Amino acid sequence: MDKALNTIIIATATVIAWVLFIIGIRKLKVKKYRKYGLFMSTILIVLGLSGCDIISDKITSENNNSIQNTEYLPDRIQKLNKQIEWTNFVTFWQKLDFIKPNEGKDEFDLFGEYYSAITTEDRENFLNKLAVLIESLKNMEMDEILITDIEIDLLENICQTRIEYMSSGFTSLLMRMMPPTTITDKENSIMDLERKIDTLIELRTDGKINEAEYQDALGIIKEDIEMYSITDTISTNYIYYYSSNLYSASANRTSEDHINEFEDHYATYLLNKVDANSNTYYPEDLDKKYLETKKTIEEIKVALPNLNELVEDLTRYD
Amino acid sequence: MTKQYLIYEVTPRCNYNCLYCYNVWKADDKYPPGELAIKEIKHLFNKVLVDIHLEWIILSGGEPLLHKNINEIIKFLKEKNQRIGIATNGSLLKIDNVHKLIEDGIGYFEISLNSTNVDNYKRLCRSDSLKKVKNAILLVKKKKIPLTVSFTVTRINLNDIEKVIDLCYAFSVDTIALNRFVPGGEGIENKEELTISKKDLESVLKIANEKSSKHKIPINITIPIEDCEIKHAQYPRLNFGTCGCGESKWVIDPVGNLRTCEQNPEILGNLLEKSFTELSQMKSVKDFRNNNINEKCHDCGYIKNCGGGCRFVDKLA
Repeated sequence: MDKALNTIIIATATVIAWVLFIIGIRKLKVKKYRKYGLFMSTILIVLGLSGCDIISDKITSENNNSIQNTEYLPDRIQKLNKQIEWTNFVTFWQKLDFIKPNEGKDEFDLFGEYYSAITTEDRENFLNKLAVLIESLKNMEMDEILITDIEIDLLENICQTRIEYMSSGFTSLLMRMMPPTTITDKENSIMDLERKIDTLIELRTDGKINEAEYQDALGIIKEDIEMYSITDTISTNYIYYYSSNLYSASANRTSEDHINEFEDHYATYLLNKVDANSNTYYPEDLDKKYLETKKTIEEIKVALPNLNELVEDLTRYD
Repeated sequence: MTKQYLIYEVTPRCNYNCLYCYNVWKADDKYPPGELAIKEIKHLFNKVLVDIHLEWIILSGGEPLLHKNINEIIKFLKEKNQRIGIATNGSLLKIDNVHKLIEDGIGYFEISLNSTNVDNYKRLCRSDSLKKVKNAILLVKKKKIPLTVSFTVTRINLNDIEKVIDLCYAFSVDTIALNRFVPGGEGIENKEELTISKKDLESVLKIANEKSSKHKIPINITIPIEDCEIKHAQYPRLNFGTCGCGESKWVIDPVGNLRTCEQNPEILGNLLEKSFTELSQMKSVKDFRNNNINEKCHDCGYIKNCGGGCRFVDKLA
């Protein structure tokens, strides 16, 4: 029993060491992280190989924290705002905020009311500019972590979808099938985000709400970002067409509903897997897709509160 | 048995003095004054809940937050497995008590917001707490609790509907209850100043329909409008309600009297003395249900849309 336990400890310690090592490598641009990642990985490999019992508790705790929230300094937003790479991104985001729906289009328009709000040429320019800004954010020199890769990736995804929506509109209805709820909810979340930001700007301009109310209301809009991030992850990483509840889609679905459906789908697959008579088609690599999607969802859940803080800063029009 | 809704007016006291207020005691000096103590409230509900299966209890007033035992009332009802909502003007909601109310068992809020215009709000509500009310809406929504904003259409705030709907949408409010002004309580005295014409009502419904369509925010017309007076089909995005008063919705006043409707001052009897079953089967309830509904209504193909309309208010002018 002890031997088995030791083997597990060694294996776990090695995995954690590798994770930390990889983090260390990935974050080489952060001086503190470099030291931390390399140092910790060395220690853990040594401890792991010696099969030392005393680390078992620590390993469990480290393992549980493997997708833990990055602890930012309380003044990270102020520090971020001193970085030209971030302020350039803020300016870019706000440019998108001030794009109004296409006049003459309404919510009944097949592609949404923001369809063609920007020209194809603008779209190209926006996407190119975004790529440059994201690249510069990723390479930003920092003495401590001010923004993580997952936050940058989420912001990039959101911006890309916003630009696509304001140019080509939503295209899911062009398919000759009913779009899955992950896609429609993803589209609706971006549409809602655009429209709510526009409405809030208008209310503030009219003096109907003040700055504090504006900021508070944005805090609630962030639910759209949560919905977007979760539905985007599931539809991209798992199966595009997986919804088991296609025809009973509720107007008030939450991101948690999507996560539950995703879990249900996989649970059904596991049951069908052992049933030789099951006709349901599943991709061969579904287990892998499931694990990857689940991991990304966990990462997003952890990153969202901090992402919200960034979005708050992006929408502060000082 | 039909699912039942109960409005419990926990206190007649209010920190507002709205021009349009329908509280029945405001128009009748002889209306039984006071409010029940917590012991009596518990006794009353122990009795009532034997007789009636409730979908929701909505705590109303006056301003319900002025009852000194409001949290205890909520906790007690929660222990009785009731779903509890609260209808408030929102001015007394702060971060701490919002949290406490939810913790104690409030699962739904209804907050009145009749204008985003400071002057109009002050004139209608005789209060300058607009800012506090907007803050209350945000506080509730931050807690992700279902919230309805109610808007009473009067001649004063007629043109404010558009901005109120925009604000509700931008603040992530779940639904809007759009009520036309019905003279009752304090409103009787201010009838001339507040009553809107049919044409005005139609223009408000048109705006509401467009906004609901644009923002996909549900708007419920909670004081019924008869289909023979205004065609519901012209406003496909609006949910026109029917009257359930004295049938599926009942009102208990601050001293425990049962009534059929918030606006109807007629007292059926006191629930501390008589049972709900006894009071709800009185002839006067049947009479109330037959009020404003005639032979033509029963033959009308649209009765399913309006249920025969409001039993209290006169037909539209």
